[in-house]
Amino acid sequence: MSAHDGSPGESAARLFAQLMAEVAGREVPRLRPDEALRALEDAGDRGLPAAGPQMRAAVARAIDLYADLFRETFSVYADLVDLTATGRGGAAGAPVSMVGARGGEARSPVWLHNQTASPLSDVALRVTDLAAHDGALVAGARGAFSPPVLDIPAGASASATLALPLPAEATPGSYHGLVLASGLPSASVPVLLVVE
Amino acid sequence: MAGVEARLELYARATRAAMEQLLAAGPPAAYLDDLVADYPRRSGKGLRPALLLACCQAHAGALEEGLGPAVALELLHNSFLIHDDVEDATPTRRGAPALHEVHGVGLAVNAGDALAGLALQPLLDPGRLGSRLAREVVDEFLTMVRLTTAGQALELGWQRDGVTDLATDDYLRMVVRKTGWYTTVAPLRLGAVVGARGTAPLDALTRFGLHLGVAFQIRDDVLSIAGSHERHGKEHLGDIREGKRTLMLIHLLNAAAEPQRAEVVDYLRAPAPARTPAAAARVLELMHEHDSIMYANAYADRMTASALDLFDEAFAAASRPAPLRFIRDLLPYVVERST
Repeated sequence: MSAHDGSPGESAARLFAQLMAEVAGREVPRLRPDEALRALEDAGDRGLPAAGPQMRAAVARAIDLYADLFRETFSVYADLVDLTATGRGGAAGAPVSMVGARGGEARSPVWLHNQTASPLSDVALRVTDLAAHDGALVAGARGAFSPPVLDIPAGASASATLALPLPAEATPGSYHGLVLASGLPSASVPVLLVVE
Repeated sequence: MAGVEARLELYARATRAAMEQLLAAGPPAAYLDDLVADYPRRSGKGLRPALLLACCQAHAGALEEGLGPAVALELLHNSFLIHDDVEDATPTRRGAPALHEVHGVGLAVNAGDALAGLALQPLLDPGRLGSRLAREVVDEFLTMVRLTTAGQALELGWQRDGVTDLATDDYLRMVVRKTGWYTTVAPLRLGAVVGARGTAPLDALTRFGLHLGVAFQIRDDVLSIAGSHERHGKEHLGDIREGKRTLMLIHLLNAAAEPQRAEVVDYLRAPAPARTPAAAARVLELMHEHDSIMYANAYADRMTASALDLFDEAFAAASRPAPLRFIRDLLPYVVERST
């Protein structure tokens, strides 16, 4: 290494993009109560009429829920749709995780949830090129969604399956890209592809 | 530069005044209050709250709305410093003995915990921000804490395991997490989020902050070995004695041929007491011999230049010229503190 070699700018830009994708893809895990917690709920108390403090708590809880609903519905900057996915396994922070062998194919469902009061029609999905840490690429243009376009009623969900053929000469490793939706410029979801 | 320093001091003074209110609140606690207030009262530059407040103003936000997150950020920074000094066995901080040197490790770590808790307090006031924005601000803080501790873990792990097979990319991966995000990216993002009430795009701003953060940290690392101890309050050769994987050290490990490289590796794998001032001075001599400091400075220059190139795009949504000018003028000030 010398003060004059290479292009640190390109390398840094690639690393910065990876970090930003990691941060953008993070999700707050929702805690699920397990059996031990349920066992602590005293079943014998359930049938008792609600006393004053319990009633106040129930009303406060309902107000909180409605406030959240209001915020979710009218938030000025919220995306029109929320793209999520149910890919297999995958690393934290990558909602779509796909695994495939060189020369084979990687597949994963991608879900769209229309949280608005209006139907969405003719939404086409596409996947960007997927890049590895060393700059190696898997072309996103080879990917196909089935069905190719989606119509999603208000408040409903729909899914498409992403199938991505993997080149036989692809280097094994992790590749990162995004799924984008036509007509929804602010919606995107990170994709982690592991080539085996 | 005088205008930048004057405005920086105003932001710092406003933050200090708000911090004092928090530090003075609550019932007194023996063996704790003085320790908690110690680092925040040792005057730092206040770079982080200044960036946050200026970015908030630039996005047409009110200073009062940015003050809570700015104070939280500065307090959290000081809690990091307390723990960082213990983890790195750093003897001095801002020109005075480190907290654990004065009060012992136990009380110092406990004070760091208390300070981290106190830092959350300003974030609990959603009155000005509203619950939606307050939640977004907390989310930014959580991201920052996660990245900072991940970066710190990486560096401590390298030191513990004697890892020396490192390249510039490894340094970048570590440093953007350990300090870059919370020194520049988080203040800028928080300022934009609060100022524009969550409507400003953050990607270009984040890229700008990452370049600036890396440049800042490299300069800080250079100062640690080449700067004036009196002026910057840093222990002479401190980072070399701690075995920190700075860009200069990583460059040296890649540039030196045997047997010099083996000499450096042996030094890094030796127990801390064996890394004497004389041995550290020898590593510095090798850094000079292989132009490692020049390499680091050149790298920081390029990061700064990239940040300047990104400036207009980063602040496309900002509308107020005075704070915007301050941020732009702050760039050379931040990365050229070595004189």
